[in-house]
Amino acid sequence: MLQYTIYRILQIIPTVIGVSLLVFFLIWLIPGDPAQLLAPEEASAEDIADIRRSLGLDRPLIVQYGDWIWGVARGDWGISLFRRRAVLPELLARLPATLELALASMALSLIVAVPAGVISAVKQNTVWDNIARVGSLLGLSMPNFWVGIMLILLVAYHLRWLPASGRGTWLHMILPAVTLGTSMMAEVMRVTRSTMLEVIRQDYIRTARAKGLVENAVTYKHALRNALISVVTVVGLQLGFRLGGTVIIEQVFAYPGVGRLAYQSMLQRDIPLVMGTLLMFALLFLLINVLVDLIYAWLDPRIHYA
Amino acid sequence: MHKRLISLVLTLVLTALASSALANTVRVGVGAEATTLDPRHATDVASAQITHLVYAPLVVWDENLEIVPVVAESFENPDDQTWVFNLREGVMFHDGVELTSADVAYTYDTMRDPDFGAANIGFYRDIVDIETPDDYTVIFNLEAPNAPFIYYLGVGIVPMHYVEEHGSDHLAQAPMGAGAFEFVEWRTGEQIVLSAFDDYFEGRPAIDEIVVRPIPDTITRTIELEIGGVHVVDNIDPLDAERLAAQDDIDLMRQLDTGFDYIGLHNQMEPFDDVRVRQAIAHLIPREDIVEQVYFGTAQVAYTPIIPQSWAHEEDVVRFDYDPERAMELLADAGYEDGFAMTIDLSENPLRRQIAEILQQEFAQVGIDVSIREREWGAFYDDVLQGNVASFILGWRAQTDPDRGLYRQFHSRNWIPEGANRQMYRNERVDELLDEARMVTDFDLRQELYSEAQQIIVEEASYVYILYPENLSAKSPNLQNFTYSPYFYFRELKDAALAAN
Repeated sequence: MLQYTIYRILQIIPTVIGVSLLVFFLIWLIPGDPAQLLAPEEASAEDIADIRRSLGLDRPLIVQYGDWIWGVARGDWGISLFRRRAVLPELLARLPATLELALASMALSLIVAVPAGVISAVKQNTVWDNIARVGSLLGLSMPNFWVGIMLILLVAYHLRWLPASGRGTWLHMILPAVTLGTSMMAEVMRVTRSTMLEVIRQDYIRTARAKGLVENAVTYKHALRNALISVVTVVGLQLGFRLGGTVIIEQVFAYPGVGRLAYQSMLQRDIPLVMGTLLMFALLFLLINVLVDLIYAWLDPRIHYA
Repeated sequence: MHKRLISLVLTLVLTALASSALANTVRVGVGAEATTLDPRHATDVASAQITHLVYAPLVVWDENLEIVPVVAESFENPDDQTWVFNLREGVMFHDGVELTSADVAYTYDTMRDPDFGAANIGFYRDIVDIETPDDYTVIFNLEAPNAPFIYYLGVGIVPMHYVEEHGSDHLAQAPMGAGAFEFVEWRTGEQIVLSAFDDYFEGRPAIDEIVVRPIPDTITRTIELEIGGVHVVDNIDPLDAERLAAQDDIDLMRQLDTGFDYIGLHNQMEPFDDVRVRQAIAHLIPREDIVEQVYFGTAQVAYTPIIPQSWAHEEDVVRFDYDPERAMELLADAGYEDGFAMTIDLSENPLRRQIAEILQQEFAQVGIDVSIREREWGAFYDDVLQGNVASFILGWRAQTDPDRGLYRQFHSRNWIPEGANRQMYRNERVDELLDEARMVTDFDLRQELYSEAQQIIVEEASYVYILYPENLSAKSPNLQNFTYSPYFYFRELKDAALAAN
């Protein structure tokens, strides 16, 4: 197990190098030049050339990439072209906000969606099932930004119960977490329900019932545990996407996460910052994948990694 | 259990009270986050909004573009190529060191150094050297006469001793200047906190603290103002202007912005190489309707490239008013009686998108078939600068001296990619006028030169002007004696006061 974990973590390195190479050269293929975007609109070609040179953007691409990857290996992720501050500290300063929000929305969706999915499956075609299904359909079909704005209007503007935007206290986190959690909740609920429906028709569930186990023990100990493998997969993927930045939520709630930074840096062609955010997203995503695989083994003793 | 709950509630209430107890804190909501707090690099609005509070420049200018000395006590031109500034004595940086001529020279010497990489380096290329005969005198020696030069001296003065000790990168994150407010804290993405500087040379501000929060979403930003989360916000959507103006507990601040929005037509590309086609298009712009329907009245129709608040704004130019029949005649003269197909390029901007859609309908009635291509700014702008687009909707801002409005855009020396003459317009007389007007300092002569230049430029319709947008911001009435400046943003907070609720 330990060996497998180490092996999986080492696998991350070539993947990250591959992804970074791809992105680095893709950025240069997109029209738009950082020096041009940095210069005022009245700048001359000479001004732009001076800016380009001062930022080291006039060097061959391969040299720039080599510099960057060598820096990363030494823990130096470069300096943002527009912010003129080191990329890594900037990302680390913003990461807690993103993590906080992603975890809160995940917790919220697990607390609501897993029980709802279970009830919906066990009580299939009852009024509870219908409520849960309609709820999840709504959750999936309402766009995030709309939910966010509606919540701000209702809860912050009309009722004045919670702050409309920003970060600071746990109160600030409720609206963005609920907004972000809505679609995740819906997704998790649907997967829980459909997997549970499959599982409760299996032979071993019938056996458990035949043994005379009470219904709750059958549902939660035998059925749910097996259904959780799919749920963990979905939650892992969703969490990965959430950590990859939640641009729209951060925009609507003025939440200081990594997503907005990644988006702005892309618009500005701020190459070191784009590369840095990308590297961090890739690392987080891959780590979550490893974690999900390890949870599989814990959930299902039949799964062994050698 | 109950006790615990009560104590929790009490703690929450007390925390809330404690944060509102700092009654003299002005909370500001802005549309974008600052990128750097080094004024020499702060060319984006969000960064300059902060640096104008923390640093003091030689001069600023008011809404009518009149120069107001700040660190400079006075200035003079012994000749056309020399600018002499006498500095105030006793202007202190936030660390207690006095600001002297050496700091002024250092600020501008770094900005004109190509290795420093200042985005505005182009403004300072004419400087031959900067002399500092004593602590309170700075002399800029220029290579050639440069009439607009004074308007390039609004950059905050940086403390040489601090930058040399800590480096420019440190200054960009932990700024230190001689402005009315001292830097306290920057929580990235979240807020920047400033506090009143006790020894500010114009007197300590009445406000104790400023908290600036980036709130990028316009709806959220407006709501924060309405629910009292912030005292003042910038960048109000024209759609919200009327609603906010009607509210008693909100003051809408409207000022003309620093430029104009226009349709650029590539003068060297068919069919826009024919002046009649360009004039026809100018006759097809329902400017009043655009101002009313898209901007809800928060803009003025535009006919010339010089903003109305400038002394050089010429009212007496040919006006291509909305007149489709005249447009059809001009098109027929040019051999396009059946119209033609064209693409209007623009960046992602909801207001400009609406303008493009209105134009699409208008142009259709004379047979011009318009397709609209909307792209992300970087890709769009790159294409404009490469001269790859025949027509585009853009704005030109930050106009101060008329030279800044005309020279770069209309002089043939500045054809793209060398300069910013993006429509590749050329007229020899205009070239002469613009060259002369930037070299002479005689006010009346400059006015005459710019008047003639504007008349030619407008008549040849190299650009088709649409409107001068307003800069919309709003504040709570509690924030008194404050006006937002389209050029220096929140600078006037130094004189503002916050009344109790």
